[in-house]
Amino acid sequence: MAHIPDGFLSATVSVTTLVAAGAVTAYTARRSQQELDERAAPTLGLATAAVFAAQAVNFPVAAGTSGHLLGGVLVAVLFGPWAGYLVMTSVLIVQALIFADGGLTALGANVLNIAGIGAVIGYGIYASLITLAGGGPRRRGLAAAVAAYIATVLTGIAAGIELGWSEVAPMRLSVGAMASVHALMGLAEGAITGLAVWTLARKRPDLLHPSQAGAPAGPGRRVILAGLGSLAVLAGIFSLIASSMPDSLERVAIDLGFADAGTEWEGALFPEYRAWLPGFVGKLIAFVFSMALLFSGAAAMFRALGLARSAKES
Amino acid sequence: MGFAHLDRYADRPSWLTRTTTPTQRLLIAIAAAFAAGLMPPGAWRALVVLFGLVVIGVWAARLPLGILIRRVAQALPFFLLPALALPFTVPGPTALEIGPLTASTHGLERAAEIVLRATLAVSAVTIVISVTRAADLLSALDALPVPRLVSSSLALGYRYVYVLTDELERTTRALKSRMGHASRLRLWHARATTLAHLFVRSHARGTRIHAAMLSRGYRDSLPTLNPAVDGNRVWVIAIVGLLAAVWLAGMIEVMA
Repeated sequence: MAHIPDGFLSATVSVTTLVAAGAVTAYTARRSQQELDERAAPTLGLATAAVFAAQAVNFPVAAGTSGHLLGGVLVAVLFGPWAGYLVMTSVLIVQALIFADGGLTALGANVLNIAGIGAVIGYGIYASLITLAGGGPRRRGLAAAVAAYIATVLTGIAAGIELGWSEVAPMRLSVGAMASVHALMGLAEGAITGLAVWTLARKRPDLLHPSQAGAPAGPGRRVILAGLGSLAVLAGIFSLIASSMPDSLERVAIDLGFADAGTEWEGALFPEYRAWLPGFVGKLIAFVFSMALLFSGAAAMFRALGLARSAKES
Repeated sequence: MGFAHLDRYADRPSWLTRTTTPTQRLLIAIAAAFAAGLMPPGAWRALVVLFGLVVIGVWAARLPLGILIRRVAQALPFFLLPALALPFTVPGPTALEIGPLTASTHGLERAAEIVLRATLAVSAVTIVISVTRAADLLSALDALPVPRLVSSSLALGYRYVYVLTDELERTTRALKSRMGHASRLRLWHARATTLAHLFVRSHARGTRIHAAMLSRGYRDSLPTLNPAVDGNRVWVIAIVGLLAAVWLAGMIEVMA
């Protein structure tokens, strides 16, 4: 599901994403060559093969269905973000060429979504969490799980944006559908990645890519806290606005004239959505959640300011 | 296990394999995928022409039709499932109602078109890829603007992917014989541990391979022993040009 197949993207989106992915790949290849020297090709080759083999391991989910690892965050935690990007790109090229799993015209988009967001941004989240929380095996595992979950959801959102931009379906629907599918897939990805990284951090910590773990809380920590804090404040404000207009999605749907298609489709795919959050209780939960986000964000920002002051004083 | 099942039709003599090198075939596959995959919505006549070209392609590559259908069918769920959601999401006049769902005519049309485009693109790539050895295909990537690091790590990955798959199979068998009837949670934990060990082992193997390569004089490039085949440039240019022309005709058809 994470792959976009041939035929879904418009020419503009396909070419734009291909050019962007090509530029990122060229930059990344140079970075990894510098980081890994001539060790690069054997290391990355074996990692590519390992991701392929790992994707064949099925994890039973429920009722006969099973999922498998995508592996972006796991590879990035092991080999670093740039090498992780190249490994995932290699996997995607082979899948598009030999297994017709994800199309050649969508290769650029898939590389950006799965390798770019999955490995590089996923690693960024992991490294920030490690910097904040410290680098014990359990914390590393948890950080990797959270990073893998967020990266998977972001991958879905990016794919939704590309599909909406190609005018395959209205942007709101494609982003919503892809985000909710990946919010479920991300749970498995996060659990597997977290367990694997936890094991690796206990048994072979020397194999993990050296990140800022255990490094003194310098300016990095401050910047991360401030960034996370402002993100949380923004998210809180957005969810406050959204919860004060609970039917905004439907109103937009009516305005755009696809009320029937939109709402009924949504009701059919997510029947529990309405039963789960009926009227007042839903609003209450949303309100409490957004308030929590707002306050924790504000607290993080104050903490960042405090750190800045104490750093200046000392 | 091995790539043998992928290369089963690679050595068949056919017009396509006689007149083109693997690199040229890769170019043709890419051109065909782009012509089909990026056909603008509504260009039905151009799609029909492309369908004809794909049929000619099957004949030129002498690929058994059953094999092509089986291989395309394996990729079918990847584009069929998302396309099934389209009739119910694209706004337009109602065409039919299935229970609580209403399908719009525009949505049905778009879904049919996407499935057709995707099928054509996948079939074209499958035809060309099936008659080319996987190893040749990966070394053909060097001719394209693919970074050397990616193509050489792909070549090495290809060489070792089934070694690692077998290793993983052994570990999984050992796991199964020791775990018995474990609960799902324990099974997940055990399998994740197996995956972690897979990466540990692949890293160890990579280090060994690198040492062995260095002792044999590895200098950052993987030479190939494949004999150079002469391809017919004129035919390749003609085929790629034809595909581009069909795509352009599709664009004009939509604009007119």
